Amino acid sequence: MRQLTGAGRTVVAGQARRRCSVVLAVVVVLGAVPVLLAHRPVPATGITPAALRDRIAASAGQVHQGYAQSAGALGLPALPNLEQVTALVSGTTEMRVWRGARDRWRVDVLGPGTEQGLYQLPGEQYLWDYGESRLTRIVGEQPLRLPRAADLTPPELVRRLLSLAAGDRVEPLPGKRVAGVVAAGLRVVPVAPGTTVAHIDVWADPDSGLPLQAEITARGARRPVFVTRFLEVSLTAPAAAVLDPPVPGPGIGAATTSAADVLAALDRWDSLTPPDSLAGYPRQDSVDGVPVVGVYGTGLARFVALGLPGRLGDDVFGNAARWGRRLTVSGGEAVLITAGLLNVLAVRAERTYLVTGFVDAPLLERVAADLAGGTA
Amino acid sequence: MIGVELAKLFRRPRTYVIAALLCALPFIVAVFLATTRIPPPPGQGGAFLSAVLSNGALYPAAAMALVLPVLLPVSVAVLAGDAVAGEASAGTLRYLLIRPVGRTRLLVAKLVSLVVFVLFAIATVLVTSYLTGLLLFGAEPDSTGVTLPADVTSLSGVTITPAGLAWRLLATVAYITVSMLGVAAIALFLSTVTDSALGAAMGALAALVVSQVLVTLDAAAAVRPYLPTRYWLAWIDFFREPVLWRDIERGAALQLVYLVVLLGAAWANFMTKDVTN
Amino acid sequence: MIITRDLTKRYGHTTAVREVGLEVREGDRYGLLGPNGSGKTTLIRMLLGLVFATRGEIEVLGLPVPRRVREVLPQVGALVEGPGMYPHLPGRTNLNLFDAAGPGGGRRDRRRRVDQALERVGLAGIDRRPVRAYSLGMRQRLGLAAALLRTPRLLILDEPTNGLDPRGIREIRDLLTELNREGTTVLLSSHLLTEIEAFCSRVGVMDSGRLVLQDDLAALRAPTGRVVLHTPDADRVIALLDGRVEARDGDRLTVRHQAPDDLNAELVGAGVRIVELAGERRSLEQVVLEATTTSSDRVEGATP
Repeated sequence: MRQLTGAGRTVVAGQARRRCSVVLAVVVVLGAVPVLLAHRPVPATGITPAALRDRIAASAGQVHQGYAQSAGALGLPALPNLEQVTALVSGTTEMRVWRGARDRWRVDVLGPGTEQGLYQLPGEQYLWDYGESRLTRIVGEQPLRLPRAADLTPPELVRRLLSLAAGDRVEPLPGKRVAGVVAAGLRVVPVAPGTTVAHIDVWADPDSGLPLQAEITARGARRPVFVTRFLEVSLTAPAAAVLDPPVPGPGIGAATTSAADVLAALDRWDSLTPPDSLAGYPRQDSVDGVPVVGVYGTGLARFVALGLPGRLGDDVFGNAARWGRRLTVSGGEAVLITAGLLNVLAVRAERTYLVTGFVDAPLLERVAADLAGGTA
Repeated sequence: MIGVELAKLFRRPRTYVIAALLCALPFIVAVFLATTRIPPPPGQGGAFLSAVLSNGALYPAAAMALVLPVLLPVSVAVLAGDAVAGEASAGTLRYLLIRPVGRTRLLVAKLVSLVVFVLFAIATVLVTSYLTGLLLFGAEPDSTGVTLPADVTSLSGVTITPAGLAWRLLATVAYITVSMLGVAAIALFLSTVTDSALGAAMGALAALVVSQVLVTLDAAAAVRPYLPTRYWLAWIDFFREPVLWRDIERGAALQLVYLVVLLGAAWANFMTKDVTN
Repeated sequence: MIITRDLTKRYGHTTAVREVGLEVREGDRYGLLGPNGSGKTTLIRMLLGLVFATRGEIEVLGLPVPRRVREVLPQVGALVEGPGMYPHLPGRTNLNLFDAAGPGGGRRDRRRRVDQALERVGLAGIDRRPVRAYSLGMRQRLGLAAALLRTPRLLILDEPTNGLDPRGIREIRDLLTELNREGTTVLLSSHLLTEIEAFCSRVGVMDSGRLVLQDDLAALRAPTGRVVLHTPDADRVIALLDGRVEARDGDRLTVRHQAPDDLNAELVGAGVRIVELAGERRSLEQVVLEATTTSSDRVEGATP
C-alpha cells in the first residue's frame, strides 16, 4: 500500500478543540467588557465634602438632560388615592429628564407602552398622560402637593434631602463613575434622634455640583433601601422644542386646573388641621396658610401629619389596618406600617390622621398616643 | 447556497401558514376591538391598543406589540430549530454536505433565510394590520377628498407626521428583526446539537420563557441586562419624542452578542459533528 | 481511488469501524458486503467527510479526507443510506436545488445536467408530483440521479438497489456497468451477496466493524482443483478414474482433477456420456462464510 499523507488530516478532534477554545475566548472577552468598564479606576476629584455640598445646593440652575432610574424597596402597601406615591418608593421608576432652566424643564415617566410627561414652564405646568390621552394644564404654583416622580430625579431628591439635613454631619466618600461621569461622593449622617435614616450617600459632578446618584440606607439595613441615579446624563442644554408641551389635538383631552392632586383638595377642610404639638414637637405649617398638613421635628427626623375627611379617612385606615401592626392606644385605634425607611402611622379617633416621615417606631407610638388622646 | 435556502423557504407551504397565523392574531384582536370598542386600560394589554381606537394608522405598531412577545419568537424558534435538525432527519443534510456545501456556508445561509423569513413575516403583518386598521378604525377624508388616516400621536403626545410614522415603522421592523436574531441563534445552535427539530425549538422556547420570567423578577435584577428578551419591547421607544435610543442600542448590541456567541458555538459544534442520521 | 489505513470510529463505548484498510483501485467495481450494522455505512460516511474518524487515515482520489474533502466531493457521486429529498417538492425541483447548492455552471448547464441525470436513471418523463407521492423505487432512482449530476469519477453507493423490483435492479446494474465501462469507479455496499456477485469485480467483506476480507472476485473464486460432472454412466467413470472421484450424488460426481478440458477428452474418449462438466469454483457464499467467523448467519442471501 502507498504511504498515506500523514496523520492529523483525518482525525479532527484537534480542530474541534481549537474551535471550541475560539468560541470560549470570544465569550470570555465579550463577558469581560462590561465588567472591565464597570471597574475602570476612578480618578480622585480633590473636593472636600463641605465644598461639594455647597456646590450641590447651588446646582439648581445647571442645565442637563439624561435618563434616570429610581428604585425603592420600601414595600409600602398601596393606600387608596396614594397608590402613585407608594409605587414611587416601592418600585422602580424610569425617567427622562431635560432641564433648561430652573423653571423650564421636563420629566417623563416611562412605562411599558405608556408615558407621563411633566412640563414646567414659567408659571404653569403641563401634565401629559398617554394612557388617558389627556393633557392637563396646571396654572400657578402648587404650594401643597403629593410627591411625584419628578421629585425623585437625583438632583431634585438630593437637594431636598440636603436642605433637610442642613445641620447634619458630612463625611467624604470615594468617588465613582455614574453614567460615565467621574463623581465625587459625600455621606450625610443625621444627628437628630428618632430618624430611621442611617446615612445618605450622594455622588455629584464635582465641577457643576449636579447630583448624579443618591442612596438612602435605613438604620439596621446593610444595603440602601432607596436608590436614584442617572444611567445616562449630559450637562448640555436640551433643545427648546423638547421642552415644549404637546399641543392638544383631536383625540386628546385637555383640562386646566389649579389643583393637581388629592392633597390640594383636602385643604378645603379647616377642621382637619393636625394638633399644635405632637410627641413634644411643635407644629410648623408646611406652607404658610395651608394648615391641613402639619410638619413636626427637625432635620431628617421631620415628619408630617395629615388629617383625612370621613370616607377617605376610613378607606385609608382600613387599608392600612390590613397591612400594619395595631398599636394599643387609649381613646382610638392606631396602625403602624413599618417599611424600614419610611414609616406610616394611621390613627382613627375623633378624626383620622395619617403620619409619615423618616422617623422610627417609638417616636410614632408617642405620636399615636397624642393623636388618639384627643388633643385637638 | 443562500438562493437555495430562500427557494426552500418560499417553496414551502408552512412559511405562508406561519405568516398567515401571524397576520390573523392582530386581525382577530382588531375585529373584537372594533365591534366592542372597549379599549384595554392604559399600561395593560398590548401597547398602543387603546390608541388605535381613535386612530387606525397606528394599528401596525399595536400589531407588532401583539405578535412580538409570543407568536413571532415561537415561529422563529420552530423554523430555526428545524433548520439543521430538520434537514438531518429528512436525510437531506448529508446530500447537501456532499454536494459539497461548506458547513459554515450552510449555517450562514440558514441564518440569512431566517432573517428573510422574519422580514417577510413582519412585512405581511405590517401591511395587513395597516389595512385592517384603516378599515376597522377608520380614516377621515380631508378637505381635498383624499382619505388619509388621522394624525398619529406619539407616546409623548407630539403628533407624528406620515413620514415620521413611516420611518418609525421601518425602524421597528428592523429592530424586531434584530431582536429575533437571538432566538434564531439559540434555536440554530440547538438544531446543530440535536437531530430533533422539535427538541431544538423547545429548547429555544424554554430559554425564552426563562428569560421572560427573569425579566419581571426583581430578585434577578443583576442578570436582567443580559437576558435575551430584556430589550424586546424597546422598539416602543421609537414612538417617544424625542426617540429614546438607550434601550434600542443596548437591545441591538445584546442581540448581536448572542448571535456571535451562539452562532460561534453552533459553528464550532457543527464543523466536526458526525452526520449520522 | 480510495485508501484507508487503520481507520477506526468509536461512538462512545461502541466501535462501529475497527482498523479498516480499504483499497479501491481505479476502474474497480468494488462490492462492500456485510450484514446490517457491520459498519459499512459508517465507513462510507467517513469516506465522504460526513463522519469523522477516531483514528486512522483516509485518502480519496489522492487527497486526504476530511481535510481536502471539498476538492474531492465535486468528483464523487454518492447515495448514502437511502435518498434524502424534500418531500413537498417535485423530483426535478429537488435535483435543481441540490445542483444549485453545489458549485459550477450557468443556468443552462445546470438544466442540462439535471435532464441528463434524470434520463440516465429512467426518470426522463418525471411529472410534477411531489416526492412524497413517489414509490420507493422512484425515490431510489431519483437519489441515483442526484449522485450522477456531475458525471463523477467515483460513485459511492450505499445499498443502491434498495426497494427496487427485479427489473429495476437489473436496469440499475446495467447503468452502473455502463458507467464503469466509461471509466467511473464504483464502490457499492450491500447486504445481498447475490447482488455483489453479479456486479462486482472486487469484494470487501465487513463483519463487526472489521474488513475481514478484501480481494478480486476472480481470485476469490479461483478453481478448487476439482471438476464436477453429470453423467448417466457414473459407475463407469468411478471405475475408470480409479480413486480420483471424491464424492458421488446420484448422477453427479466430484472428481479431483486440475484440467476440466483434459478430463473431458479422456472421458469422451472412453465413451462416457457426459451431460455436463465444469471445473469447480468456490462460491462467494463459501468464501464469505469462511471469512466471517462470527454471526455469519446474518449475511442475508448466504443461504439462497
